[in-house]
Amino acid sequence: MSVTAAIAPAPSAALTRLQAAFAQHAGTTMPVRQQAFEKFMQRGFPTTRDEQWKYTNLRRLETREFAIGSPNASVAIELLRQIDAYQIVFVDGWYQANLSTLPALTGLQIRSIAELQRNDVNALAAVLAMTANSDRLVALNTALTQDGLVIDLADNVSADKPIVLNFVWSAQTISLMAHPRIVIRVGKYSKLSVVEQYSDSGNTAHFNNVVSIAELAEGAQLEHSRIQSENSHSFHIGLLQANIAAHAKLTSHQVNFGAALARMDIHVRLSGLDASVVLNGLQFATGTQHHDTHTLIEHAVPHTASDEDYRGIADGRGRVVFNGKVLVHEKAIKTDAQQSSRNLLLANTAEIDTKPELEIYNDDVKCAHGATVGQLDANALFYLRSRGLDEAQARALLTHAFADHIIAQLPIAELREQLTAAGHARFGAQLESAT
Amino acid sequence: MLSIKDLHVNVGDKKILKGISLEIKPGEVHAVMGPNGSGKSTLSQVLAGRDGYEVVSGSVTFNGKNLLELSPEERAREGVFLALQYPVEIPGVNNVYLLKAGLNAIRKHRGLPELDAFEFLALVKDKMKLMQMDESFLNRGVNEGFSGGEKKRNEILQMAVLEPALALLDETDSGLDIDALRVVANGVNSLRSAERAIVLVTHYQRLLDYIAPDYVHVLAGGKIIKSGDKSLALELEKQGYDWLTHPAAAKAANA
Repeated sequence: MSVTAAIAPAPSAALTRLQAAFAQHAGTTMPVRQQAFEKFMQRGFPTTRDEQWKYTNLRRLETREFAIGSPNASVAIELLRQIDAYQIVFVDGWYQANLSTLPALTGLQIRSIAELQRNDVNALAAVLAMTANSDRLVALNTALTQDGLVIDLADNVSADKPIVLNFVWSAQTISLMAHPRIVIRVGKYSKLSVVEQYSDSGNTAHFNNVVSIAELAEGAQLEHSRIQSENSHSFHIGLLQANIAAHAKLTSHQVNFGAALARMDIHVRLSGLDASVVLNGLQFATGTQHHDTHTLIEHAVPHTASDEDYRGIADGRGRVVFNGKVLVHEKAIKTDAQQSSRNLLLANTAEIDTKPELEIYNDDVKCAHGATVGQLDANALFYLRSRGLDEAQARALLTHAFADHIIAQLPIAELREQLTAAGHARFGAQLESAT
Repeated sequence: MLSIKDLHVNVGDKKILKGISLEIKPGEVHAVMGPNGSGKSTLSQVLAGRDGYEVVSGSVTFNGKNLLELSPEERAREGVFLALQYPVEIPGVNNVYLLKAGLNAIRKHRGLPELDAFEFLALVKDKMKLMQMDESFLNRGVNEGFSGGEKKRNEILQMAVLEPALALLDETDSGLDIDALRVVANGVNSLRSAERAIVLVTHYQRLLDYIAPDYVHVLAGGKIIKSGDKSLALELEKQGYDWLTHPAAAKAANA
């Protein structure tokens, strides 16, 4: 038997393809992109041997081929119904000026990544450098991001309406990938609501690898919502990285409904006195869907607060993973950290893995966490049925009630209605409206 | 209307009902009384279709149908209603939603057109007045944050809206203060009719001061040990259950 001497393994087919994509990329000459790409190539896609990816296997993603789409893809998209918000549209990852309404608000500046690539490479380099220490999929985003948005809100400005970013795919039969980069900087004591919505009703498997970065200056308030309803063949990887200064507050809502595989990461650093964060999340996996959310909240200074409420529902052969880590630094006394992970297992063939992780380096803190995995309440089911509702309807109603706790907190009424309807479609039962 | 014949029910290995027979006709009000653990609640739960109870033998016929073969929702649609001893709190499900979905499911089953939102609200508001309930209850979660008395009122409100043929009231009086008891009793009395039968399951006779039963049955040890008219309830109030369950001991105590 001969043993091959240790040689550097040849890059996998997936990495070779990404290498080709990078070579064609407009920003190849930027050092920050080159470094990031090298970083990615060194370690490749995460595997289940990585603790952070223990439950989420990316083989299905890695073995597929994805191309970067054209900036000029034609679309016939039905936008959100008229809602009270500024709507911005991305198709195949590219910003579409003609489909978007930019707010004309003094103190609010919005630029696309593609525009920076063309006209202001230094500004782009600064944006890309915000994740210089990251590797793997974030590094891949840094290397390949073709478009996205940089939103800058000056000090003491309250944006009058939410900004809704709609990411859609054109009716393509070839699989596309996009690496959107979104940067939201909220100035001192300013207020902003941003919604990222990823949706597709087609059948082609696409791959979104999103990196969103939020910088909240002193006293800033940001409400950030991310709604993932990609088609059930697609892959969605998303990071929200937030740094929260003194007296500032981030409220994050995340809804995972779509995709074959979705992995969300949230990293929040509370870096100033009285900084606080609220994380609400809902994951709902049916069929063979796989939804994974990992959150990390870092309490870096005294008197900071976090409140996390994540809910998961798994039906069919769906799988929901939640990992919530709270890290309290040694000097971060008077930390108040609350975490709850509630989960509903609707079928024997479904699976839910939830893990709270507390890492606390001082004694003067108030930290509480709870994780439950259960089934629909038998008493409640009987009660509803004893009033004439059939079993499917009763189950749907209770599932809805469980999910609605999170959905009800989202901004924009139309968005809540749309999600409620989408949720009902997933329960597979008709619920008539109450009034 | 309801015919129970020699009904034996187990929970696990435990025999709870040991041969119950009861005939109930339309228009009648029956009170089933008995000490704790006598099987009163089991009887009402089995009739409503709650699982976890094993019917070992006997039969229950409701308007000619084998009730025991029906699911809880089919029983509700056929006209059986159980007011629970402990109504369930269901946050996130509106009271109004439950009422409307329940009523329309029942109407559909009976071949009646479903009510539209306007007709339904008019109906439910009318019934709420009867139960002295504030309209704000409609848009709250089912029993969510309700006091004990409010929950019981809500049960009777549901009964008033769903208009069952057979209403089973399981310990509806327990824990009610006198005002709430009067409201609940008033609601029940207003639903008395020649077509409807009502079964009051209770430990105490105080509800019977307000809702006069046609028949009183004493359930003890899983069997009906005595039946009579409402004077039986008064007798029980005076002498306690020992008079029937341990006649010798009671006599000795009175001697």
